[in-house]
Amino acid sequence: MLRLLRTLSWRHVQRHRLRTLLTFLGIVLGVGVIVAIALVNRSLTSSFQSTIDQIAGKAVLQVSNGESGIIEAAFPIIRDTPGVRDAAAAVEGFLPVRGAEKERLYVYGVDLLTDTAIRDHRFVGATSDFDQALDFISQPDSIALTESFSHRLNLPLGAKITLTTSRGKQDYTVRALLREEGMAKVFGGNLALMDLPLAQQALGKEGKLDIVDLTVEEGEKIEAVRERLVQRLEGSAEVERPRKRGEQMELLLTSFRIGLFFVSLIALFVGFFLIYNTVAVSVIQRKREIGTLRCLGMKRGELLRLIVLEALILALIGSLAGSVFGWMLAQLALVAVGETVANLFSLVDLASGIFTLRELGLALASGLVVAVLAALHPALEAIRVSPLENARQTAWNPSFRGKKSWATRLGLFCLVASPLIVFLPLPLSGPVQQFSVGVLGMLVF
Amino acid sequence: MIRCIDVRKVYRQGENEIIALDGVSLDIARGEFAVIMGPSGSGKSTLLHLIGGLDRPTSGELLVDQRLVGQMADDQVTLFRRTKIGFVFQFFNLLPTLTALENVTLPFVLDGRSKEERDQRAKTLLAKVGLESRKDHLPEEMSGGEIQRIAVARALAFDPPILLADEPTGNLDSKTGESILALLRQINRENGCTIVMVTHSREAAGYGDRTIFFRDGKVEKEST
Repeated sequence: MLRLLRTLSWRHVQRHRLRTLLTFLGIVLGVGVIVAIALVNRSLTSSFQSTIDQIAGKAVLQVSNGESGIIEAAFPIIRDTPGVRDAAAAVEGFLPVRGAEKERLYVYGVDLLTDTAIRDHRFVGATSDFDQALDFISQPDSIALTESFSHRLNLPLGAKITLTTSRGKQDYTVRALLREEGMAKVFGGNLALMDLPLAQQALGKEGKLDIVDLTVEEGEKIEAVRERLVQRLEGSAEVERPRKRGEQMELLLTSFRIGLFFVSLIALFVGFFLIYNTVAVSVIQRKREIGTLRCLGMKRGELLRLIVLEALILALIGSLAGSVFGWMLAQLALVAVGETVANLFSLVDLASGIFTLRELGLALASGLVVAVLAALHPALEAIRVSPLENARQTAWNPSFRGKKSWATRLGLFCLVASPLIVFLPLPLSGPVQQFSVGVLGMLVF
Repeated sequence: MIRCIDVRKVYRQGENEIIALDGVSLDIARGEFAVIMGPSGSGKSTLLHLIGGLDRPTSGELLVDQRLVGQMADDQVTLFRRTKIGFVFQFFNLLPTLTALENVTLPFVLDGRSKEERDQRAKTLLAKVGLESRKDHLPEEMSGGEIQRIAVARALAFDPPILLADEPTGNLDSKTGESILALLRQINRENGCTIVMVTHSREAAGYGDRTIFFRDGKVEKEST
């Protein structure tokens, strides 16, 4: 088979370089987009999980009640539950920064004196974190920012920052800077720490708590404490492990990820048709050659293997190149996805997509499977070519030449319509316009 | 070498039946150079395709080298074609992407022979048709006569007992055509190869031992 590949296929590739290049690029594009989306999805998941872990700190259990929150009066019940060692209440939410349109701060309101049992808050230049905390809560408009946020917006200690709160514009004074450690690393440093009552006012959550983080006494089983809490709260709040909460937040991203998945399917679809089209055209053009080979004694099975193997080799090289292209695409996509997720849900600090064997496997599997599926039909057509094709006196003419099928007409229409949608001022919203162009572009093939 | 007993070949075109061969019976002896003549549509090329295992008879028996080619499985008949039959066509049918040498080695490539063996044999065959010096040329760089000689060399790859030629001079000028016919005659004499040639040309028929005339799918007459 290698001899046949070297003698017949390689020569054919050399003679039809442009078509081979187009197929190759089709595979690279299809596989590249799939790999890029897989990398973005993985980065998104791991970043969300990491954010949850960093916010949860040492907590092994978390009490929450969705958007409606926990009544603050329930806090003593939670704290005094047997087996609970430390309990730290918090409210959380995003607030826009006045004067910096694109900036949103993740405001985390805690009782700094009790919260240190769960999370480490390291203040820049503080000799004692406890003294700093006392100093911080003794003044009613204190806010702590991360070092990076403070540098970016030029807000040193003592500076004023204005946030759009539930009570309108409110000024706060920067009284501490958080070192970029632990929790302060989340959301790319867009984190502000406030005393609990001040944060409740700013977020419009007076008398409510979003979450209570808990640690348990040594020797206590976490599940036993959880069950005790569930009993005592009588359904007024949920008690879960922090990771479980992370999974719930991930669910919020499901629709976004489904969108990404469909984009990769479209890419694969286009890749499939490029390969199918190339192999099919190649079979049509080589019909007399195939007839000659059959006439000279090439078996049907040998012919089938040769055509599928040609597609597989092209797909293998295309998939490897597609992996590299996908990784590059992912680096660009992570920036765009980070912005989109920040606009739709919350800020996440997306980790750069690290290419692993998993992505390589995905690239090879998608490229090779698509190539085999796409090549199979034309290959089966090829083995039906009679050796008599060799004896026909004229070159083979496709029966549709000169006629335009409905598929050709549709493809031509889409080819014309796609740029019109992009450039004409049609009353379509951005996503609808982009989706329409995507679908029309796909139909061109 | 070739025996046809009441061979019929019927093609279907929608509702219509086209009778290409209508009960042909004939014998062609080993080493004979038989020429088949007749008007277009008389069934002469169809008979050649049936002998070569490119198609199957609708009914009747067709024995080629003592084997019933019409009843062989596809892979069997393919192997039979590879080693027992040599084909020469009007339109040459060389692969345009391969050089003269590579075209001649193609049957050996399909048979899995080593490079040394196939190159050596191909060079011998090219020398036999007088084109050793053109071995590295592509078909598009050669004349019609040269291409047909390469096709003849390829047809002789496995030294087949039967050579089938379908209008081998139909696409050549008369002088070049004569040289190809002379080559076929030489092969017939030197190799003892049975040749069946379809032609429209009376001059070409003169190179054969016997001429069989076809009309309307039947043998009309024979002459020696």
